[in-house]
Amino acid sequence: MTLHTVNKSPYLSQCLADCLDRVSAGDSIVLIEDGVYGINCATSETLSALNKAIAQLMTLGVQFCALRPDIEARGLQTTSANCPFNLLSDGDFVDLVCEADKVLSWY
Amino acid sequence: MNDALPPSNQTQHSSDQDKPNTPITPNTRRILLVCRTAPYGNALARESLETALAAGAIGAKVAMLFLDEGVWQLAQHQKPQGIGRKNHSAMLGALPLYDIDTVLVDRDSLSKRCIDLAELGDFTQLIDSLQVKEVIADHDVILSF
Repeated sequence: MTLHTVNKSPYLSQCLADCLDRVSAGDSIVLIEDGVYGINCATSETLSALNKAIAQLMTLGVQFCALRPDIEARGLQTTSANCPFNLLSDGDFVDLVCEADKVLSWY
Repeated sequence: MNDALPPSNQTQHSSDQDKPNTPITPNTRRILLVCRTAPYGNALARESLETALAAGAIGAKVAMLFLDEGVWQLAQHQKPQGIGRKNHSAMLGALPLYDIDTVLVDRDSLSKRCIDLAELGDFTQLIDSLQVKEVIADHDVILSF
């Protein structure tokens, strides 16, 4: 399993879209740092291209996560009950990194 | 150098190396350098190349994958003398000399940027989006630049 980290806002950068294009079934994606500005991307009209990709990857067992301390630091919250991103503590993030075969950073 | 070794030593040496199920060591680990930034704007493209050459020099198995903005590194006719930099594409051309023979380029990233396939050096291999996923899954370590 490859763990993909994304640390740029999807409103600024192509990083998340580029990552979604290269994710395989069973991989995990974690939004970190400014990447957490994408926490509501699955329901954002501005980012509609990402909605479809995320929905499709979820059917392939791709796990979507975001780092809670980074979300809280920026005053963000999920706006939909169907938000696909699981919130991780720093400790959860470390566990996920250890579980992964390798990490690929999108920045 | 090997010619100087007694034949018995040589045989012993090669049979050790050919053992199946060799544990993954720093030298057998397959390393993928994912290059996603254009040259000259920052130091990342240059650093990926230095990493590749250093890893190649110690005998590590290195592959490079050019994705997204990274494909600009492969554009021909770069003339960076006017900005006081070395020619990046010319340095990439030296990769085969350092035994880095796997230089992969994402076809979609090229076509999105209207980069002519004919411009690519013959040391590169074009791959499609499905193969990109396979290459990522297939390596032990990934470094992204």
